[in-house]
Amino acid sequence: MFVYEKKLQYPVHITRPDPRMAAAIISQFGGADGELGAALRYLSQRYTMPIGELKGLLTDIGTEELGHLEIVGTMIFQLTRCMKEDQVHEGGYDAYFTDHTAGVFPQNAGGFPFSAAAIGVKGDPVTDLHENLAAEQKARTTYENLLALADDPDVKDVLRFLRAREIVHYQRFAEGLELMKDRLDERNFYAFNAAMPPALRACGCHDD
Amino acid sequence: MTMLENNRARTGRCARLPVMVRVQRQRSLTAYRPCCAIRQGTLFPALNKPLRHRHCCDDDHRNGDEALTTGRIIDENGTCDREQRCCDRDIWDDCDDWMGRCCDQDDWDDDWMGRCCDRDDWEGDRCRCCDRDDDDCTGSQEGDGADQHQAASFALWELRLYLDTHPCDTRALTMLRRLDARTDQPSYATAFLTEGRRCCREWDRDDDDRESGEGRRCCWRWVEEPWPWEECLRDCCHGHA
Repeated sequence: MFVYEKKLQYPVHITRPDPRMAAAIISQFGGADGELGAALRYLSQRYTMPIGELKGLLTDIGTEELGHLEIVGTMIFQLTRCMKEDQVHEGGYDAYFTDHTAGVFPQNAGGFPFSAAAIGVKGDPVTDLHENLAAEQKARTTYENLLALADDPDVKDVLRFLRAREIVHYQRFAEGLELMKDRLDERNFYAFNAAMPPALRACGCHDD
Repeated sequence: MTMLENNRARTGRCARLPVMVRVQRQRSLTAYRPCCAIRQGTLFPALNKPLRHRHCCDDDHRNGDEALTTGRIIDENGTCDREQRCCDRDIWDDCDDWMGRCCDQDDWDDDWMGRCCDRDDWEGDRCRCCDRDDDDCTGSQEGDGADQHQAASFALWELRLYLDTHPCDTRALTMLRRLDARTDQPSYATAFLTEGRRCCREWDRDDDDRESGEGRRCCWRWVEEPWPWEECLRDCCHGHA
């Protein structure tokens, strides 16, 4: 089950409203490579992981991504709560404002609502870990793009933290992949899906 | 000072060391000291490096890996020598002593707190974050109590991620015990850490999960199976495969 700790993993103190920046950062809230997608991906993949270490890792990283979702949502909230009308127009935020006012809605920077079509859960631990490696890299790139767009040091501070966490997650998943490959059943010589239901294994390489 | 001002004041004082990952040679910059962790977003760069890919003293990867799992470093002469450089400069770029002296035989567990300052990275001659005399970093850091707590709880979280893939790493478990003592505010994460530590108590001779006696290994119990969604595993799959 899930319990909420009433604090942010990293403090967010943005004093200058900037809807233009919020419109860009929102991609990390509800975009394809954003934190919501990451959390959903990892928390969904953990069921078919064959070893406890990976179940723990995906649970913990998925939980941390929910924490990051909160940080990104906080940034959007703080960037838009005191905005003035001219800021709304010049930031291109008027379309979003019409539908959501200053609310925080999971969509990407192009205006598309969040979709699970962007995430992958293949049911094969090796495949899923590769998906996760790619996802962390995509998130890192997105944060670098946002850092290039940002000029407020308070915003950049938080973005730098989130970017560093993506890299750490990437390394953790790389460790997990190495662990998985080491633990593949020695009889499973061609590294077939270790999470395939036993009755459906077609290769006949298992005796159980 | 606000937390933000604290973080700003520490700009430039956190050493950054490059870290490489074997899978794609992605280079990352990670923090190096606990008090800088909250700002940089990472802790334990040593632990964030895949240990198995450190080829200490041996070009043969297999021997190096075996050495690491047993905790000893085997050189080409077949001898165990922990003083050997644990960063083979042929494999790692710019591998400064990422812990200061990562192979200090005298102080293996304490390196990250005892010598957290690679003097090439600091301007002064004093380690600001972790003063060797002041293990809690309280004497040398300008942060307030809440800042310390956030740094310690973040460090705990980071350690959790590491322990997920290295549940029996003794150095990490030592850090876990230390960090747990430093967080004086009870939190949900701490409650699970206590459970994880249970098997390591020296006086817990009746722990059935681990063999008692001198050869007992203490491991991070978070990763133990079954997990909540597997309650029916034994009933569902056996006999139906």
